[in-house]
Amino acid sequence: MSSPQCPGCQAPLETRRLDDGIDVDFCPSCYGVWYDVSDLAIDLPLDATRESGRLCPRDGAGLLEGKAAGTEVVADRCPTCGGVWLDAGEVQKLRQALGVDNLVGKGGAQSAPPPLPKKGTTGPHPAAASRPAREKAERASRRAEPRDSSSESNADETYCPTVAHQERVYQHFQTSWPKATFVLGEFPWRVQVGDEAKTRDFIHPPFLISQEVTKEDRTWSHGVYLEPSEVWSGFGLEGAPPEPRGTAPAQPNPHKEDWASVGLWGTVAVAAALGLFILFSASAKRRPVFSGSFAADPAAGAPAAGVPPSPDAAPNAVVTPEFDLAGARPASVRIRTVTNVENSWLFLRFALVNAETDTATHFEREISYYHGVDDGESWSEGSRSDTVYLSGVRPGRYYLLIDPEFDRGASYAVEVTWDQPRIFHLFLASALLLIPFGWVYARMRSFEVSRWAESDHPMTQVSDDEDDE
Amino acid sequence: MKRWYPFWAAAVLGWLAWACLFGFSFTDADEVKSVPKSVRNNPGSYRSHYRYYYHTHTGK
Repeated sequence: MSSPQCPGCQAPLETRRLDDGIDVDFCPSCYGVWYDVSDLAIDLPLDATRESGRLCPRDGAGLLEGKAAGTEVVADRCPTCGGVWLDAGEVQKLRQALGVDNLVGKGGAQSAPPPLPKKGTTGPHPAAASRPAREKAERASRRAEPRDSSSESNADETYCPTVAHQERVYQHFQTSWPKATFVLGEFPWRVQVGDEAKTRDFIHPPFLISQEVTKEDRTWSHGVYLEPSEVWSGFGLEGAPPEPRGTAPAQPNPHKEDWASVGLWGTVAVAAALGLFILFSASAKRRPVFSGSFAADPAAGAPAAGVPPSPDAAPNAVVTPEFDLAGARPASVRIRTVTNVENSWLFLRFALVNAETDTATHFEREISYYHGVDDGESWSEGSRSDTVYLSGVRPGRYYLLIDPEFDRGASYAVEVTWDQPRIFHLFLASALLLIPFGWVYARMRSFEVSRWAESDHPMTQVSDDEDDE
Repeated sequence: MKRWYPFWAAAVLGWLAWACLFGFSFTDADEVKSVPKSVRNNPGSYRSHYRYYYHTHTGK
C-alpha cells in the first residue's frame, strides 16, 4: 500500500507523532501539513470555497480551498473525509490568527475556536500580547507541531531535490537550521537572538541558489562564485587575498576545462594513430624471405664408443641458406618458430648474420609445452610456437645460425618475414595517449569529492568503525 | 595539462610512425661484429662469447 501523497507536490507524506500522541502527516518536500478531521481540536470551516485542483491524500477526492474560520489564511479541505491541508507556514499563521496554541487535540473538534476580539473591545488581541507571552506561545506551538529542524527529518538528504531556474538545474547541496546566537551590526530587517530559519542551498557551479524559510516568509537568493582576487579588487584592498582553504560549494572545477580539452585532443590523436598505422601497414612489404624445417636429434653426431665428446660439438646446429632483405630503409624482421615439443623444452640460440658485413644479431628463445590431467581436470602450460621481432634491421643478404639445446628430440620449423608491421605498436600508442585522460579524470573527481564532502550528499562514506581489522 | 597534451600526442604519434617504419621490439638482442666466415661450414664451432648462456625449465 503506497504512502499518501502530498496534495501540493505529490511527494510521499511522512507521519509524525506529536507530544500528545496525535499523528499528523507532513510533506518533507514542501513542508505542508495534513490534518484528519479527528485530529483537529477546533472546527475549521472554510469561507467561499472553490475547487483547488488538489487531491485528498486519504480518498483522492478533489479538495476545496477557502479562507479558514474567518481568517485570511487559505486552507484546503476534503469534502468527503473533512481533513484539512495547510501549506508551509499557514499552520503558524492560523494559530496566530485564531489565538490558539494548538490546532490538534484528542477527541477531534469538540469546541469552537475562541472568538476573535471584536472591534473596539478591550482585552488583549493575540497579536498584541506582550512580547514574553507571545514568545512563550510561539515556543509552545513549535513544540506541538512537527518540527523541521531535527537531524532525523532532513528529507533533502534522501530525496536530493533540484531547482530549475533560468534554464539551469541546481542540485541540492545542504540543508541547515541556523539560529541567531549573537547579533552585531545594522540590518535592513529586525534580527534578534534566538531567531531560527531553515536554509537550503542548491548549486550549479559557479551559481548558487539559497532558500531561507522562517515563520513569516520564504526568501530565495541567487549568487555566483567569485575568485578571491575578484573580491579583493572589488573592495579595493591592497596586497593579495589569503590562500583559500577547502572547496566552496559553487566553486567551478578547475579541471573540467582540462578534461574537455584533453578529451578533444585525445580523440583526435587516437584517430590519427589509427590512420598512421593503417597507412604504414598498407605500405609494408610483409615479404616471407625464408622458411625451413629442422630436427633436434639426440643421436646426431654421437661420438664413437670410448671417444669423449668434444666440448665444442654442436651436431644439431644449422646454417640456413642466404636470403635477401631488400629495401631502402631498415625495417623489422619477424621470426616465427613452430615446434612439436611434447612435455619438454627446446632452447634455440639464433644469430641473424649479415653475409656482407659479417655482423650478427644474437638472441635466444625458449619454447616449452607441458600438459596433463590432474584429478580429472586437464591442464596445459606453455606453447609450441614462438614469435620474435627484430627492429631496425638494415637491408642486405642474411643467413640464420640456429643452435638448439633440448630435453628430448624435437623438430621445428622457422619462418622469416621482412618488414612485418605489429598492431602492438598501435595499442601501445593508444595507451600512451590515454594516460592523461586518467590523470585529469582523477584530479577532476578528487575536486568534486572535496566539494561534496561537507554537503548532505558526500561522494564517499567514511567508516566510523573503531574495530577495523 | 591542456597546454602540454598536444606536445605529448605529437611525441607519441612520432614514435608510432618511427616504430611502424623501422620496427620496435622489447626483444633482448646483441649485435656482434666480425663473425668468422668458417661458421657456415661448422656452425657448432661458433658461439658468441658476449651472451650469457642460460635457459630455464618449466612444467610440472
